[in-house]
Amino acid sequence: MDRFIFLTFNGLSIGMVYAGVALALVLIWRSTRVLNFAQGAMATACAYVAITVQQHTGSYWLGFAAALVAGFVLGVLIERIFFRRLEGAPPLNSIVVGVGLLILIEAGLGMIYGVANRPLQNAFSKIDYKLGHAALFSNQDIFTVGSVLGVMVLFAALFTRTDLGLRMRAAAYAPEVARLLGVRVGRMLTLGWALAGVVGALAGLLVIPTGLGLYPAAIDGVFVLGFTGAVVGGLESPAGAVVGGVTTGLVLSYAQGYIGSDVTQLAALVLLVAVLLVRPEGLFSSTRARQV
Amino acid sequence: MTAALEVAGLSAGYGRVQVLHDVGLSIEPASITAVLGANGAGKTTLLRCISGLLPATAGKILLHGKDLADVPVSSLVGLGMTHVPEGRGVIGELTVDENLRLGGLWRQGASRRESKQAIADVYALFEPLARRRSHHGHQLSGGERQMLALGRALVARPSVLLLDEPSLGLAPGVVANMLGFLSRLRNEREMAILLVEQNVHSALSIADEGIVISLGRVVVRGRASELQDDADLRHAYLGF
Repeated sequence: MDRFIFLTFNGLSIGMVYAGVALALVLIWRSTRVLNFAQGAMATACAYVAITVQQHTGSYWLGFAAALVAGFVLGVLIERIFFRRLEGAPPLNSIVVGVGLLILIEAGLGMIYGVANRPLQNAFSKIDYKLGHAALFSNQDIFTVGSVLGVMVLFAALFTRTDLGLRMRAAAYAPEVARLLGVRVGRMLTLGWALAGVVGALAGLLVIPTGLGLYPAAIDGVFVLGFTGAVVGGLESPAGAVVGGVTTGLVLSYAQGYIGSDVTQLAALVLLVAVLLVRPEGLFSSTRARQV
Repeated sequence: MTAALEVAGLSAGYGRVQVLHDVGLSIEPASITAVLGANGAGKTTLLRCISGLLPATAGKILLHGKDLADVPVSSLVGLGMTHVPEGRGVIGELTVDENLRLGGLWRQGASRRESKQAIADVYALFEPLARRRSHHGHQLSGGERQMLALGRALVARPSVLLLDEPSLGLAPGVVANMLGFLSRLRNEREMAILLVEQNVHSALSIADEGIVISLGRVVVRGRASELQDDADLRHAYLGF
């Protein structure tokens, strides 16, 4: 039982990181139908910004804030410079550009910072709270879960309670109608990329200190699992992204704990195939939108 | 008096296929102009071109005397023009209330109160919408969607309204109500309405002017009452 509790908390914490990556992917997918394969590399770039600022100022939180700002700016730049030009192009084009950017960013980071593994510190202590002998969770885990949940609540409030959120949703669902009603659709799509950049950067800052360390390809594996979470959640819904991410985290944690770490990646594949077999549209996607 | 909407020498197309050839029309405030023609004549293209969704290759569009050449689509609603596109453009993923709010989002600052009032007016006018305000657009019936599309356009309080096939797929009784409502908009709010319709009888029964488009050119224009009585014209271009 102790083991189960430990694995559950562990899965929740890492699942929240996958949820962050999934949320970033969903924000972009639902408004522009682009699967941003460069999302992980963008997050890594932001983590390098964090480490640089931390080295110069000595402040963890200044570096943290700088990374989130960098995520926002990087989202804006990449949408404006690359993906804006692909509007109306076949879907394959955006995939090729995304993969190209992934390679470009990681190569660029390697040229600037080298490929050596650098440690990125945690925001909070990794010492676990215990129940009897069972390790439960640390302050860092609480921060991971709380910050991703916090971002999700903020996004939900933005989308459902504000005029800006209404504009963003209208621009995503029906760009032409939105434009006719005075919505500046291009700006709304850019803002979606920027917010995705921020949440991606957050996920990077949370996951790199968990033992990965920082190197140019650090987040590639996490990206794949975040992508799994996004697909499990249905790609359309931010809430689905979080549930999908957490589900992925839990399944992987149990598989690793009960079967062995060799099967972790296989467990992700099994989860993906199982969900796609039972609900091809994902757990949270509305089937109506997919019917032809 | 300046025309509410004036179009001169308008040409446009998709890729190499030219659809509109040298189209001209003028709409006075407080009037309805019906745009008639067979399928594929270019009626929808004309509306899309006027509202900037499709760039014109030649010609001029003046809204209350202002040239729209460099005006982005998203600014038109603030200048008084609203386009209800074919298929009505209700956003199915948004609720009735959110769809209506969208109609007033172009207003800035203090005039936001005007949007709230306009939405309240729409609910008073279309009671079924008031009962379903938290329903999503895709849960509505055809008639309700039509109300919502028109209602949303009214929240914007336009002086020029472009309507593309508003009667498509509606029951005859609903169509009659809708057309009666358009006449009231013209009379009470002095709206200039450009109405694209397949339903020629109905359209001409409320319109002041009519133009007939064939293969992208205006082939006939005149008083609606005269067009309705012209059997040769009806036979040649409108197929009845």
